[in-house]
Amino acid sequence: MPPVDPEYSLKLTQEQVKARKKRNLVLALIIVAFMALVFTITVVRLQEGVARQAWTSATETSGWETAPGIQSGEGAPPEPSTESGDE
Amino acid sequence: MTATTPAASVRDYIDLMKPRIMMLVVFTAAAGLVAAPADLHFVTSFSALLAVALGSGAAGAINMWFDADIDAVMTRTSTRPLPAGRVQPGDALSLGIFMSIISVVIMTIATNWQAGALLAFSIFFYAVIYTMWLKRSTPQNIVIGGAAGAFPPVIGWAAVTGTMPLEAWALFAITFVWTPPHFWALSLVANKDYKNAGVPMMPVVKGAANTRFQILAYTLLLLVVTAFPVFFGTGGLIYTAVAAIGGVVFLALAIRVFASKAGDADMEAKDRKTALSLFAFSILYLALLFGALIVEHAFGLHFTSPALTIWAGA
Repeated sequence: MPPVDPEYSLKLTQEQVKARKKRNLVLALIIVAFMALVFTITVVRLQEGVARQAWTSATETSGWETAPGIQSGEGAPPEPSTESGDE
Repeated sequence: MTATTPAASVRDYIDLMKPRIMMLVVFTAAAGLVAAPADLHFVTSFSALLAVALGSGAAGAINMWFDADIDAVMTRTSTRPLPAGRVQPGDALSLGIFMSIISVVIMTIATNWQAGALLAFSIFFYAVIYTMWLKRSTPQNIVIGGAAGAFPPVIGWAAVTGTMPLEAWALFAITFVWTPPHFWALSLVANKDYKNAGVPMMPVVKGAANTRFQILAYTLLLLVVTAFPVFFGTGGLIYTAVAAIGGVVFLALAIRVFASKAGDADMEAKDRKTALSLFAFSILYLALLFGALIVEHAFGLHFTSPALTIWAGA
């Protein structure tokens, strides 16, 4: 048998093993929470981007007039209007 | 590590992140977030505040790692996880570095690179510029280092707008000017401890009487600085009332400390109490000021008078 590095041959007490298990459990929960958070942020930011893109292409192709000084795609999309823009 | 070393609990790792400082930092960041003139999605707001909390914790852990030698000598800090031997120094450092990276990543993907960059800078400022450099070398340590704790409202503002206008820096100025009277009130009490540990805090270097005078001077400056958000229109009537009433109480307590013997060699129990009451009230005052901004901007209670606002953005 090869000699064992003393650093890795520590005898842990029951209490220490229990504390380690608890730390590992909390770490696992944190990792899962982190994945969920990154996923949720991605979804929200993609939605913002998709809405922005739709608004940009709408203002460019539909002939809607934006307020003076506002570039196509800038500013908030208009509220759905009761008047049709085609008339 | 021997068998007699107590096992590190999850609580010890939380303590490494200085949870009480973290709460105040998140609170002031939230004030900047709601005071900025736009709305963030709930998820991105939450993520931005989480990132600030993690960044604050990361900086705290690196501070604990570097200051373990000082903390071991001082009564107040000798029971912290590192000097008490419950957490290994290397573990604290890796926790700090790893959390710094994670916090900046979360801030950047949730909001924008401007907020992420300022968060990264403030972690660096606290962990490296304050902890490793200023704290051990100059009595101005906590004056300059106070900037680290003052950045959060600007980070919160930048998270919303991607910019850092003068209104946001007015919120920065409050915590920045508040830090010296807040911290020196405590270091008057812990004067001997800092001397033993060789930390050049103001009372150790310039003496207690000089420190008490400077506490009073910074308190007067704080009264001026807390008025800036009113002129900029960030603070409404509720904020104005809190700043004015709280400011008078703060000043009264600072005058009491100035007239006391707090920090002197022959300091009595009542002097100690006087300094500690200023320390305790300073925390309450900062929380109330930023709490007022949150109430005004997040709950639609922002009433303002045109007579108060003299500057409304460039």
